[in-house]
Amino acid sequence: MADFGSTGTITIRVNHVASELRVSAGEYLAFKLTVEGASPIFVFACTHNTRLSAEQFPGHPKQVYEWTLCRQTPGAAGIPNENSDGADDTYVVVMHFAAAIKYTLVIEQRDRNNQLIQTLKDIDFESKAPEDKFPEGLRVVQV
Amino acid sequence: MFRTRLVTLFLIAALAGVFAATVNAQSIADPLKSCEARTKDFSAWADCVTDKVVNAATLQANQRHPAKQVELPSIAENTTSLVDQTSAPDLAGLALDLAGLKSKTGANDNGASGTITTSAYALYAAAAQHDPLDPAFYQSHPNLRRFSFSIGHDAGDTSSATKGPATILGFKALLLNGREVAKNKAKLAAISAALGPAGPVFARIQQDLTNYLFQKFAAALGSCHKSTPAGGIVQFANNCLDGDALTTTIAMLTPIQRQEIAEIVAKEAIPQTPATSSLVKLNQTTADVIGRIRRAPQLSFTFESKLRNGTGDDEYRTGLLFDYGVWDRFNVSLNGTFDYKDSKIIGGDTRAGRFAAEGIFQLTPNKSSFGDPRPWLLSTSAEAKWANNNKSTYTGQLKLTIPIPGLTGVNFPISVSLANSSDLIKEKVVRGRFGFTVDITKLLSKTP
Repeated sequence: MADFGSTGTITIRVNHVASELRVSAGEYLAFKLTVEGASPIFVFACTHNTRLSAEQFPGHPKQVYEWTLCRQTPGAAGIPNENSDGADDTYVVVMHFAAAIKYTLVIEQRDRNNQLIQTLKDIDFESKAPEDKFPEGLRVVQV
Repeated sequence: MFRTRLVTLFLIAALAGVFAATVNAQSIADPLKSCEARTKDFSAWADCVTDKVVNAATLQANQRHPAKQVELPSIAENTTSLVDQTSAPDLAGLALDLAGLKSKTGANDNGASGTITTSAYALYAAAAQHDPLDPAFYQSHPNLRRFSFSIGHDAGDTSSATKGPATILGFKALLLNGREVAKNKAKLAAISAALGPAGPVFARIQQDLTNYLFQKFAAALGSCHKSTPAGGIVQFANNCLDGDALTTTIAMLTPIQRQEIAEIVAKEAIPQTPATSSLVKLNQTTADVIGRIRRAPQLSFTFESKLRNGTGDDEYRTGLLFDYGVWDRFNVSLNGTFDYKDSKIIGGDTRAGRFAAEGIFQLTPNKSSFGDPRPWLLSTSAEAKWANNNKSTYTGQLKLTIPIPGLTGVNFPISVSLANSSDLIKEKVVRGRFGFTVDITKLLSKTP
Protein backbone atom coordinates (compact mmCIF):
# COMPACT_ATOMS: atom_id res chain seq x y z
CA MET A 1 0.00 0.00 0.00
CA ALA A 2 1.24 3.45 -0.85
CA ASP A 3 2.30 5.76 1.98
CA PHE A 4 0.34 8.61 0.36
CA GLY A 5 -1.70 9.25 -2.76
CA SER A 6 -1.84 6.41 -5.24
CA THR A 7 1.84 5.48 -5.48
CA GLY A 8 3.61 7.67 -2.94
CA THR A 9 6.39 6.39 -0.71
CA ILE A 10 7.95 8.12 2.28
CA THR A 11 11.48 7.35 3.50
CA ILE A 12 12.13 8.87 6.89
CA ARG A 13 15.62 9.40 8.27
CA VAL A 14 14.70 12.08 10.81
CA ASN A 15 11.24 13.36 11.67
CA HIS A 16 10.01 15.74 14.33
CA VAL A 17 6.32 16.50 14.24
CA ALA A 18 6.79 19.71 16.23
CA SER A 19 9.54 21.94 17.52
CA GLU A 20 10.13 24.69 20.03
CA LEU A 21 12.01 27.63 18.55
CA ARG A 22 13.77 30.31 20.61
CA VAL A 23 13.42 33.13 18.15
CA SER A 24 14.45 35.70 20.76
CA ALA A 25 17.77 33.86 21.10
CA GLY A 26 18.32 34.03 17.34
CA GLU A 27 17.28 30.49 16.49
CA TYR A 28 15.81 29.91 13.07
CA LEU A 29 14.81 27.10 10.72
CA ALA A 30 16.63 26.32 7.48
CA PHE A 31 14.66 24.50 4.77
CA LYS A 32 16.25 22.63 1.89
CA LEU A 33 14.13 20.91 -0.78
CA THR A 34 15.92 18.78 -3.37
CA VAL A 35 13.95 17.74 -6.44
CA GLU A 36 14.24 15.05 -9.10
CA GLY A 37 12.12 15.29 -12.24
CA ALA A 38 11.13 17.68 -14.96
CA SER A 39 9.67 20.58 -13.03
CA PRO A 40 9.05 20.99 -9.29
CA ILE A 41 5.73 22.36 -8.12
CA PHE A 42 5.55 23.18 -4.41
CA VAL A 43 4.47 25.82 -1.93
CA PHE A 44 5.54 26.71 1.59
CA ALA A 45 2.62 27.87 3.71
CA CYS A 46 1.54 28.56 7.28
CA THR A 47 -2.03 28.43 8.57
CA HIS A 48 -2.59 32.02 7.45
CA ASN A 49 -0.85 32.44 4.11
CA THR A 50 1.07 30.85 1.32
CA ARG A 51 4.60 32.11 1.90
CA LEU A 52 6.63 30.86 -1.05
CA SER A 53 6.14 28.89 -4.24
CA ALA A 54 8.66 27.23 -6.53
CA GLU A 55 8.47 29.82 -9.29
CA GLN A 56 9.40 32.61 -6.87
CA PHE A 57 12.92 31.24 -6.48
CA PRO A 58 15.68 32.54 -8.74
CA GLY A 59 16.80 29.95 -11.27
CA HIS A 60 13.53 27.98 -11.21
CA PRO A 61 13.34 25.18 -12.29
CA LYS A 62 16.36 23.85 -10.46
CA GLN A 63 17.32 20.93 -8.28
CA VAL A 64 17.81 22.57 -4.88
CA TYR A 65 15.56 25.18 -3.22
CA GLU A 66 16.52 26.75 0.10
CA TRP A 67 14.82 29.22 2.41
CA THR A 68 14.76 30.12 6.09
CA LEU A 69 12.15 30.93 8.72
CA CYS A 70 12.68 33.53 11.44
CA ARG A 71 16.31 34.19 10.56
CA GLN A 72 17.37 37.50 12.06
CA THR A 73 20.77 37.86 10.42
CA PRO A 74 21.22 38.31 6.68
CA GLY A 75 21.42 35.05 4.77
CA ALA A 76 23.05 34.17 1.50
CA ALA A 77 21.77 35.71 -1.71
CA GLY A 78 18.93 33.80 -3.29
CA ILE A 79 17.80 32.25 0.00
CA PRO A 80 14.59 34.02 1.02
CA ASN A 81 13.65 34.40 4.65
CA GLU A 82 10.11 34.30 6.02
CA ASN A 83 9.10 35.72 9.37
CA SER A 84 6.63 34.09 11.70
CA ASP A 85 3.25 35.69 12.22
CA GLY A 86 2.17 33.49 15.10
CA ALA A 87 3.71 32.13 18.28
CA ASP A 88 2.19 28.73 17.61
CA ASP A 89 1.80 27.91 13.94
CA THR A 90 1.95 24.94 11.60
CA TYR A 91 4.05 25.20 8.47
CA VAL A 92 3.64 22.89 5.49
CA VAL A 93 5.63 22.20 2.37
CA VAL A 94 3.09 20.99 -0.18
CA MET A 95 4.81 19.04 -2.94
CA HIS A 96 3.10 18.14 -6.22
CA PHE A 97 4.21 15.25 -8.41
CA ALA A 98 2.74 16.40 -11.73
CA ALA A 99 6.22 16.83 -13.21
CA ALA A 100 8.54 15.60 -10.48
CA ILE A 101 9.09 12.13 -9.07
CA LYS A 102 11.05 12.75 -5.89
CA TYR A 103 11.45 15.45 -3.26
CA THR A 104 13.87 15.36 -0.32
CA LEU A 105 12.98 17.74 2.50
CA VAL A 106 15.55 18.66 5.13
CA ILE A 107 14.67 21.10 7.93
CA GLU A 108 17.37 22.15 10.36
CA GLN A 109 17.10 24.16 13.55
CA ARG A 110 20.09 26.51 13.80
CA ASP A 111 21.36 29.07 16.30
CA ARG A 112 22.20 32.74 15.69
CA ASN A 113 25.71 31.70 14.59
CA ASN A 114 24.24 29.37 11.94
CA GLN A 115 25.38 26.33 13.88
CA LEU A 116 23.17 23.26 13.69
CA ILE A 117 21.15 22.62 16.84
CA GLN A 118 19.24 19.63 15.46
CA THR A 119 17.83 18.24 12.24
CA LEU A 120 14.06 18.28 12.48
CA LYS A 121 13.25 16.52 9.24
CA ASP A 122 15.16 14.55 6.62
CA ILE A 123 12.58 12.75 4.50
CA ASP A 124 12.23 11.51 0.90
CA PHE A 125 8.86 11.70 -0.82
CA GLU A 126 8.48 9.79 -4.08
CA SER A 127 5.57 9.19 -6.41
CA LYS A 128 5.11 8.05 -10.00
CA ALA A 129 1.53 9.30 -10.15
CA PRO A 130 1.35 12.84 -11.52
CA GLU A 131 -1.92 13.36 -9.68
CA ASP A 132 -0.26 12.90 -6.30
CA LYS A 133 0.57 15.70 -3.92
CA PHE A 134 1.75 15.69 -0.33
CA PRO A 135 1.77 18.29 2.44
CA GLU A 136 4.51 17.68 5.01
CA GLY A 137 3.89 19.71 8.13
CA LEU A 138 5.87 20.98 11.12
CA ARG A 139 4.32 22.60 14.18
CA VAL A 140 6.51 25.44 15.42
CA VAL A 141 5.99 26.89 18.89
CA GLN A 142 8.02 29.94 19.81
CA VAL A 143 9.30 29.97 23.37
CA MET B 1 -17.21 -37.10 -0.64
CA PHE B 2 -17.99 -34.85 -3.54
CA ARG B 3 -20.98 -33.43 -1.68
CA THR B 4 -18.83 -32.73 1.41
CA ARG B 5 -16.30 -30.82 -0.66
CA LEU B 6 -19.07 -28.89 -2.35
CA VAL B 7 -20.60 -27.88 0.98
CA THR B 8 -17.18 -26.85 2.31
CA LEU B 9 -16.53 -24.73 -0.76
CA PHE B 10 -19.94 -23.14 -0.42
CA LEU B 11 -19.32 -22.27 3.24
CA ILE B 12 -15.94 -20.74 2.44
CA ALA B 13 -17.47 -18.71 -0.37
CA ALA B 14 -20.33 -17.57 1.86
CA LEU B 15 -17.97 -16.55 4.66
CA ALA B 16 -15.79 -14.70 2.20
CA GLY B 17 -18.85 -12.91 0.89
CA VAL B 18 -20.03 -11.96 4.36
CA PHE B 19 -16.52 -10.80 5.30
CA ALA B 20 -16.19 -8.73 2.14
CA ALA B 21 -19.62 -7.22 2.65
CA THR B 22 -18.79 -6.39 6.27
CA VAL B 23 -15.52 -4.76 5.35
CA ASN B 24 -17.19 -2.85 2.56
CA ALA B 25 -20.02 -1.66 4.76
CA GLN B 26 -17.56 -0.64 7.44
CA SER B 27 -15.46 1.33 4.96
CA ILE B 28 -18.52 3.17 3.70
CA ALA B 29 -19.82 3.99 7.17
CA ASP B 30 -16.40 4.80 8.63
CA PRO B 31 -14.14 5.82 5.74
CA LEU B 32 -11.42 7.28 7.97
CA LYS B 33 -10.82 3.87 9.53
CA SER B 34 -8.71 2.84 6.53
CA CYS B 35 -6.32 5.72 7.23
CA GLU B 36 -4.97 3.67 10.16
CA ALA B 37 -2.78 2.04 7.50
CA ARG B 38 -1.35 5.40 6.43
CA THR B 39 0.74 6.28 9.44
CA LYS B 40 4.22 6.53 7.96
CA ASP B 41 4.20 9.96 9.55
CA PHE B 42 1.61 12.30 11.00
CA SER B 43 1.34 14.31 7.78
CA ALA B 44 0.62 11.09 5.84
CA TRP B 45 -2.27 10.24 8.15
CA ALA B 46 -3.61 13.81 8.01
CA ASP B 47 -3.32 13.75 4.21
CA CYS B 48 -5.22 10.47 4.04
CA VAL B 49 -7.98 11.83 6.27
CA THR B 50 -8.14 14.98 4.15
CA ASP B 51 -8.36 12.98 0.93
CA LYS B 52 -11.18 10.87 2.32
CA VAL B 53 -13.18 13.90 3.32
CA VAL B 54 -12.57 15.84 0.13
CA ASN B 55 -13.23 12.59 -1.73
CA ALA B 56 -11.55 13.74 -4.86
CA ALA B 57 -12.68 12.11 -8.05
CA THR B 58 -9.36 13.12 -9.56
CA LEU B 59 -7.92 9.68 -10.13
CA GLN B 60 -10.91 8.40 -12.03
CA ALA B 61 -10.71 11.17 -14.57
CA ASN B 62 -7.15 10.57 -15.54
CA GLN B 63 -5.88 8.50 -18.34
CA ARG B 64 -2.74 6.57 -17.74
CA HIS B 65 -0.01 7.14 -20.28
CA PRO B 66 -0.09 4.01 -22.44
CA ALA B 67 2.06 5.43 -25.24
CA LYS B 68 5.57 5.01 -23.83
CA GLN B 69 6.58 1.79 -25.50
CA VAL B 70 8.73 -0.62 -23.57
CA GLU B 71 7.54 -3.69 -25.45
CA LEU B 72 9.43 -5.29 -28.28
CA PRO B 73 8.84 -3.38 -31.52
CA SER B 74 6.28 -4.84 -33.91
CA ILE B 75 8.98 -6.02 -36.31
CA ALA B 76 10.19 -8.60 -33.77
CA GLU B 77 9.07 -12.20 -34.26
CA ASN B 78 7.98 -12.88 -30.70
CA THR B 79 6.46 -9.55 -29.81
CA THR B 80 3.16 -8.80 -28.12
CA SER B 81 3.01 -5.51 -30.09
CA LEU B 82 1.14 -5.34 -33.34
CA VAL B 83 1.23 -1.56 -33.35
CA ASP B 84 4.19 0.59 -32.30
CA GLN B 85 3.82 3.56 -30.00
CA THR B 86 5.18 6.99 -30.82
CA SER B 87 7.43 7.48 -27.83
CA ALA B 88 9.94 5.54 -25.76
CA PRO B 89 10.82 5.94 -22.07
CA ASP B 90 12.79 9.11 -21.34
CA LEU B 91 15.76 7.22 -19.91
CA ALA B 92 15.70 3.51 -20.67
CA GLY B 93 13.28 0.65 -21.05
CA LEU B 94 13.70 -3.09 -21.30
CA ALA B 95 11.31 -5.51 -22.94
CA LEU B 96 11.41 -9.27 -22.68
CA ASP B 97 8.99 -11.56 -24.47
CA LEU B 98 9.42 -15.03 -23.16
CA ALA B 99 7.35 -17.37 -25.21
CA GLY B 100 4.72 -17.81 -27.82
CA LEU B 101 1.73 -19.85 -26.70
CA LYS B 102 1.06 -22.39 -29.41
CA SER B 103 -2.31 -23.58 -30.52
CA LYS B 104 -0.71 -26.79 -31.71
CA THR B 105 2.45 -28.71 -31.06
CA GLY B 106 5.50 -28.95 -33.24
CA ALA B 107 6.11 -25.28 -33.76
CA ASN B 108 9.67 -24.06 -33.54
CA ASP B 109 9.49 -20.63 -32.12
CA ASN B 110 11.94 -20.23 -29.90
CA GLY B 111 12.98 -18.84 -26.53
CA ALA B 112 13.50 -15.39 -25.22
CA SER B 113 13.68 -12.20 -27.22
CA GLY B 114 14.44 -8.81 -25.82
CA THR B 115 15.24 -5.20 -26.60
CA ILE B 116 16.55 -2.28 -24.63
CA THR B 117 15.48 1.21 -25.56
CA THR B 118 17.12 4.44 -24.50
CA SER B 119 16.87 8.08 -25.47
CA ALA B 120 19.48 10.48 -26.76
CA TYR B 121 18.77 12.48 -23.62
CA ALA B 122 19.80 9.58 -21.37
CA LEU B 123 22.96 8.99 -23.39
CA TYR B 124 23.85 12.68 -23.28
CA ALA B 125 23.26 12.85 -19.53
CA ALA B 126 25.50 9.84 -19.05
CA ALA B 127 28.22 11.34 -21.25
CA ALA B 128 27.97 14.66 -19.45
CA GLN B 129 27.90 12.83 -16.11
CA HIS B 130 24.87 14.88 -15.13
CA ASP B 131 21.83 13.72 -13.17
CA PRO B 132 19.15 13.23 -15.87
CA LEU B 133 16.49 14.03 -13.27
CA ASP B 134 17.88 17.48 -12.47
CA PRO B 135 14.94 19.73 -13.43
CA ALA B 136 17.16 22.44 -14.92
CA PHE B 137 19.02 19.88 -17.05
CA TYR B 138 15.77 18.15 -18.01
CA GLN B 139 14.16 21.38 -19.17
CA SER B 140 17.26 22.44 -21.06
CA HIS B 141 17.27 19.49 -23.44
CA PRO B 142 13.72 18.66 -24.53
CA ASN B 143 14.80 17.98 -28.10
CA LEU B 144 17.16 15.21 -27.01
CA ARG B 145 14.14 13.32 -25.71
CA ARG B 146 12.74 13.30 -29.24
CA PHE B 147 15.26 10.64 -30.27
CA SER B 148 15.33 7.09 -28.95
CA PHE B 149 17.24 3.99 -29.94
CA SER B 150 16.54 0.28 -29.56
CA ILE B 151 18.92 -2.64 -29.70
CA GLY B 152 18.07 -6.23 -29.02
CA HIS B 153 17.82 -9.85 -30.00
CA ASP B 154 15.00 -11.71 -31.69
CA ALA B 155 15.10 -15.47 -31.13
CA GLY B 156 13.34 -16.00 -34.47
CA ASP B 157 12.27 -19.35 -35.86
CA THR B 158 15.14 -21.80 -35.50
CA SER B 159 13.62 -24.26 -37.97
CA SER B 160 13.79 -21.76 -40.80
CA ALA B 161 17.01 -20.98 -42.61
CA THR B 162 15.79 -17.48 -43.44
CA LYS B 163 13.98 -16.54 -40.22
CA GLY B 164 16.50 -17.53 -37.58
CA PRO B 165 17.86 -15.46 -34.70
CA ALA B 166 18.31 -11.79 -35.54
CA THR B 167 19.70 -8.57 -34.16
CA ILE B 168 17.13 -5.80 -33.75
CA LEU B 169 18.23 -2.22 -34.32
CA GLY B 170 15.96 0.79 -34.53
CA PHE B 171 15.34 4.41 -33.73
CA LYS B 172 12.45 6.82 -33.41
CA ALA B 173 12.28 10.57 -33.84
CA LEU B 174 9.35 12.46 -32.35
CA LEU B 175 8.22 15.02 -34.92
CA LEU B 176 5.29 16.27 -32.87
CA ASN B 177 5.53 15.89 -29.10
CA GLY B 178 2.52 17.35 -27.38
CA ARG B 179 3.26 15.49 -24.15
CA GLU B 180 6.72 16.92 -23.49
CA VAL B 181 6.67 18.38 -19.99
CA ALA B 182 9.02 21.20 -20.92
CA LYS B 183 6.51 22.35 -23.53
CA ASN B 184 3.55 22.26 -21.18
CA LYS B 185 4.79 24.86 -18.71
CA ALA B 186 1.68 26.99 -19.11
CA LYS B 187 -0.58 24.05 -18.29
CA LEU B 188 1.54 23.06 -15.29
CA ALA B 189 1.46 26.65 -14.07
CA ALA B 190 -2.27 26.18 -13.52
CA ILE B 191 -1.52 23.43 -11.00
CA SER B 192 0.98 25.65 -9.25
CA ALA B 193 -1.60 28.44 -9.11
CA ALA B 194 -4.17 26.07 -7.61
CA LEU B 195 -1.66 24.79 -5.06
CA GLY B 196 -1.18 28.28 -3.58
CA PRO B 197 -4.61 28.70 -1.94
CA ALA B 198 -4.55 25.05 -0.82
CA GLY B 199 -1.35 25.46 1.22
CA PRO B 200 -2.83 27.24 4.26
CA VAL B 201 -5.78 24.82 4.27
CA PHE B 202 -3.43 21.84 4.59
CA ALA B 203 -1.58 23.67 7.38
CA ARG B 204 -4.79 24.46 9.28
CA ILE B 205 -6.01 20.87 8.97
CA GLN B 206 -2.76 19.52 10.43
CA GLN B 207 -2.87 22.11 13.22
CA ASP B 208 -6.49 21.32 14.05
CA LEU B 209 -5.91 17.56 14.03
CA THR B 210 -2.88 17.88 16.31
CA ASN B 211 -4.94 19.99 18.71
CA TYR B 212 -7.78 17.46 18.65
CA LEU B 213 -5.54 14.48 19.36
CA PHE B 214 -3.74 16.42 22.11
CA GLN B 215 -7.05 17.27 23.74
CA LYS B 216 -8.35 13.71 23.53
CA PHE B 217 -5.27 11.66 24.39
CA ALA B 218 -2.51 13.74 26.03
CA ALA B 219 -3.65 13.05 29.58
CA ALA B 220 -4.13 9.33 29.01
CA LEU B 221 -1.02 8.66 26.93
CA GLY B 222 1.52 10.66 28.90
CA SER B 223 4.93 10.43 27.25
CA CYS B 224 4.02 7.40 25.08
CA HIS B 225 6.96 5.50 26.58
CA LYS B 226 9.43 8.06 25.22
CA SER B 227 12.29 9.56 27.19
CA THR B 228 11.06 13.12 26.72
CA PRO B 229 8.61 13.86 29.55
CA ALA B 230 5.07 14.77 28.70
CA GLY B 231 4.32 18.45 28.67
CA GLY B 232 2.81 20.73 26.07
CA ILE B 233 1.68 20.07 22.57
CA VAL B 234 5.21 19.91 21.15
CA GLN B 235 6.18 17.07 23.50
CA PHE B 236 2.89 15.27 22.81
CA ALA B 237 3.33 15.59 19.03
CA ASN B 238 6.88 14.28 19.06
CA ASN B 239 6.20 11.52 21.59
CA CYS B 240 2.79 10.26 20.51
CA LEU B 241 2.37 11.30 16.86
CA ASP B 242 5.53 9.85 15.40
CA GLY B 243 6.73 6.35 14.53
CA ASP B 244 5.08 3.38 16.18
CA ALA B 245 3.42 5.62 18.76
CA LEU B 246 1.49 7.35 15.96
CA THR B 247 0.03 4.02 14.83
CA THR B 248 -0.99 3.24 18.41
CA THR B 249 -2.53 6.67 18.94
CA ILE B 250 -4.51 6.60 15.71
CA ALA B 251 -5.75 3.07 16.46
CA MET B 252 -7.26 4.38 19.70
CA LEU B 253 -9.72 6.59 17.85
CA THR B 254 -13.32 5.48 18.17
CA PRO B 255 -15.78 5.66 15.26
CA ILE B 256 -17.35 8.73 16.88
CA GLN B 257 -13.97 10.41 17.19
CA ARG B 258 -13.21 9.64 13.55
CA GLN B 259 -16.51 11.26 12.67
CA GLU B 260 -15.51 14.34 14.68
CA ILE B 261 -12.20 14.39 12.81
CA ALA B 262 -14.04 14.22 9.50
CA GLU B 263 -16.08 17.23 10.58
CA ILE B 264 -12.95 19.16 11.57
CA VAL B 265 -11.38 18.46 8.18
CA ALA B 266 -14.58 19.27 6.30
CA LYS B 267 -14.85 22.59 8.13
CA GLU B 268 -11.42 23.60 6.83
CA ALA B 269 -11.45 21.87 3.45
CA ILE B 270 -14.99 22.64 2.38
CA PRO B 271 -15.95 25.79 4.27
CA GLN B 272 -18.89 26.62 2.00
CA THR B 273 -19.59 24.46 -1.03
CA PRO B 274 -17.34 21.93 -2.78
CA ALA B 275 -17.24 24.24 -5.80
CA THR B 276 -15.48 26.92 -3.77
CA SER B 277 -13.10 24.58 -1.92
CA SER B 278 -9.47 25.22 -2.78
CA LEU B 279 -8.66 21.53 -2.28
CA VAL B 280 -11.40 20.45 -4.67
CA LYS B 281 -10.20 23.03 -7.16
CA LEU B 282 -6.66 21.72 -6.83
CA ASN B 283 -7.82 18.19 -7.60
CA GLN B 284 -9.97 19.33 -10.51
CA THR B 285 -7.15 21.41 -11.98
CA THR B 286 -4.69 18.55 -11.58
CA ALA B 287 -7.03 16.09 -13.30
CA ASP B 288 -7.71 18.51 -16.13
CA VAL B 289 -4.07 19.41 -16.76
CA ILE B 290 -2.71 15.87 -16.51
CA GLY B 291 -5.52 14.58 -18.71
CA ARG B 292 -4.87 17.20 -21.39
CA ILE B 293 -1.13 16.49 -21.44
CA ARG B 294 -1.70 12.74 -21.64
CA ARG B 295 -4.15 13.08 -24.49
CA ALA B 296 -2.02 15.47 -26.56
CA PRO B 297 -1.13 14.16 -30.04
CA GLN B 298 2.27 12.70 -30.84
CA LEU B 299 3.74 11.94 -34.26
CA SER B 300 7.00 10.13 -34.77
CA PHE B 301 9.18 8.76 -37.54
CA THR B 302 10.41 5.22 -36.97
CA PHE B 303 13.02 2.95 -38.43
CA GLU B 304 13.37 -0.66 -37.32
CA SER B 305 15.57 -3.40 -38.67
CA LYS B 306 16.03 -7.09 -38.05
CA LEU B 307 19.40 -8.27 -39.28
CA ARG B 308 20.41 -11.93 -39.70
CA ASN B 309 23.64 -13.65 -40.50
CA GLY B 310 24.25 -16.00 -43.44
CA THR B 311 21.27 -16.80 -45.62
CA GLY B 312 18.77 -15.23 -43.26
CA ASP B 313 16.45 -12.46 -44.39
CA ASP B 314 17.14 -8.91 -43.34
CA GLU B 315 13.94 -7.00 -42.59
CA TYR B 316 13.38 -3.25 -42.46
CA ARG B 317 10.41 -1.14 -41.47
CA THR B 318 10.13 2.64 -41.69
CA GLY B 319 7.25 5.07 -41.50
CA LEU B 320 5.13 7.31 -39.32
CA LEU B 321 3.45 6.59 -36.00
CA PHE B 322 0.67 8.66 -34.47
CA ASP B 323 -0.85 8.61 -30.96
CA TYR B 324 -3.84 10.58 -29.75
CA GLY B 325 -5.90 10.39 -26.59
CA VAL B 326 -9.44 10.44 -27.89
CA TRP B 327 -10.86 10.56 -24.45
CA ASP B 328 -10.04 9.99 -20.87
CA ARG B 329 -9.47 6.26 -20.98
CA PHE B 330 -9.14 5.66 -24.70
CA ASN B 331 -5.94 6.16 -26.66
CA VAL B 332 -5.58 5.56 -30.40
CA SER B 333 -2.34 4.70 -32.18
CA LEU B 334 -1.93 4.64 -35.98
CA ASN B 335 1.04 3.26 -37.93
CA GLY B 336 1.70 3.79 -41.63
CA THR B 337 4.89 2.05 -42.70
CA PHE B 338 6.84 0.62 -45.58
CA ASP B 339 8.27 -2.85 -45.01
CA TYR B 340 11.16 -4.30 -46.95
CA LYS B 341 12.50 -7.84 -46.70
CA ASP B 342 15.93 -8.30 -48.22
CA SER B 343 16.13 -11.98 -49.13
CA LYS B 344 19.36 -13.71 -50.05
CA ILE B 345 17.37 -15.71 -52.59
CA ILE B 346 17.24 -14.04 -55.99
CA GLY B 347 13.78 -12.67 -56.61
CA GLY B 348 12.78 -13.26 -53.02
CA ASP B 349 12.70 -9.63 -51.89
CA THR B 350 9.39 -8.38 -50.55
CA ARG B 351 8.13 -4.81 -50.38
CA ALA B 352 4.91 -4.04 -48.59
CA GLY B 353 2.81 -1.12 -47.49
CA ARG B 354 1.39 -1.53 -44.02
CA PHE B 355 -1.28 0.22 -42.01
CA ALA B 356 -2.01 -0.66 -38.39
CA ALA B 357 -4.32 0.83 -35.79
CA GLU B 358 -4.70 0.19 -32.09
CA GLY B 359 -7.16 1.37 -29.50
CA ILE B 360 -6.08 1.15 -25.87
CA PHE B 361 -8.79 1.07 -23.23
CA GLN B 362 -7.98 1.65 -19.59
CA LEU B 363 -10.03 -1.05 -17.90
CA THR B 364 -9.46 -0.08 -14.28
CA PRO B 365 -8.99 3.29 -12.63
CA ASN B 366 -5.46 4.33 -11.79
CA LYS B 367 -5.94 2.93 -8.32
CA SER B 368 -7.59 -0.42 -8.87
CA SER B 369 -9.50 -2.53 -6.41
CA PHE B 370 -6.65 -5.02 -6.64
CA GLY B 371 -4.45 -2.63 -4.69
CA ASP B 372 -2.11 -1.72 -7.54
CA PRO B 373 -2.22 1.90 -8.65
CA ARG B 374 -1.54 1.05 -12.30
CA PRO B 375 -4.50 0.26 -14.50
CA TRP B 376 -5.17 -2.87 -16.51
CA LEU B 377 -5.11 -2.06 -20.21
CA LEU B 378 -7.08 -3.79 -22.93
CA SER B 379 -6.01 -3.05 -26.46
CA THR B 380 -7.48 -4.08 -29.77
CA SER B 381 -5.44 -3.70 -32.90
CA ALA B 382 -5.61 -4.49 -36.58
CA GLU B 383 -2.98 -4.61 -39.27
CA ALA B 384 -3.32 -4.67 -43.06
CA LYS B 385 -0.34 -5.39 -45.24
CA TRP B 386 -0.23 -5.17 -49.02
CA ALA B 387 2.86 -6.83 -50.51
CA ASN B 388 4.34 -6.87 -54.02
CA ASN B 389 3.89 -10.64 -54.15
CA ASN B 390 0.11 -10.16 -53.84
CA LYS B 391 0.05 -11.87 -50.47
CA SER B 392 -2.01 -9.31 -48.65
CA THR B 393 -2.53 -10.13 -45.01
CA TYR B 394 -4.95 -8.89 -42.39
CA THR B 395 -4.31 -9.46 -38.71
CA GLY B 396 -6.29 -8.67 -35.60
CA GLN B 397 -5.02 -8.76 -32.04
CA LEU B 398 -6.48 -8.51 -28.57
CA LYS B 399 -4.05 -7.74 -25.77
CA LEU B 400 -4.40 -7.45 -22.02
CA THR B 401 -1.61 -5.70 -20.12
CA ILE B 402 -1.55 -6.52 -16.42
CA PRO B 403 0.70 -4.62 -14.02
CA ILE B 404 2.54 -6.94 -11.66
CA PRO B 405 1.49 -5.96 -8.13
CA GLY B 406 4.34 -4.70 -6.02
CA LEU B 407 6.79 -4.46 -8.93
CA THR B 408 6.89 -0.87 -10.12
CA GLY B 409 7.35 -0.59 -13.88
CA VAL B 410 6.84 -4.33 -14.54
CA ASN B 411 3.89 -5.37 -16.68
CA PHE B 412 2.65 -8.69 -18.00
CA PRO B 413 1.15 -8.44 -21.50
CA ILE B 414 -0.92 -11.30 -22.92
CA SER B 415 -2.03 -11.22 -26.53
CA VAL B 416 -4.12 -13.29 -28.92
CA SER B 417 -3.80 -12.79 -32.68
CA LEU B 418 -6.07 -13.75 -35.55
CA ALA B 419 -5.03 -13.61 -39.21
CA ASN B 420 -6.34 -14.47 -42.66
CA SER B 421 -3.09 -15.99 -43.82
CA SER B 422 -1.13 -18.94 -42.53
CA ASP B 423 2.03 -17.24 -43.82
CA LEU B 424 1.70 -14.70 -41.07
CA ILE B 425 0.71 -16.95 -38.23
CA LYS B 426 2.07 -20.44 -38.50
CA GLU B 427 -0.62 -21.91 -36.33
CA LYS B 428 -3.07 -20.94 -39.08
CA VAL B 429 -5.59 -19.07 -37.04
CA VAL B 430 -4.85 -18.13 -33.49
CA ARG B 431 -1.66 -17.41 -31.59
CA GLY B 432 -1.28 -16.40 -27.98
CA ARG B 433 1.75 -14.66 -26.53
CA PHE B 434 2.87 -13.37 -23.20
CA GLY B 435 5.91 -11.60 -21.84
CA PHE B 436 7.18 -8.99 -19.43
CA THR B 437 7.91 -5.32 -19.92
CA VAL B 438 10.16 -3.45 -17.53
CA ASP B 439 10.40 0.32 -17.44
CA ILE B 440 13.92 0.76 -16.10
CA THR B 441 13.33 4.44 -15.44
CA LYS B 442 10.73 3.56 -12.88
CA LEU B 443 12.87 0.86 -11.32
CA LEU B 444 15.92 3.11 -11.08
CA SER B 445 13.97 5.89 -9.53
CA LYS B 446 13.04 3.57 -6.68
CA THR B 447 16.65 3.25 -5.60
CA PRO B 448 17.77 5.50 -2.73
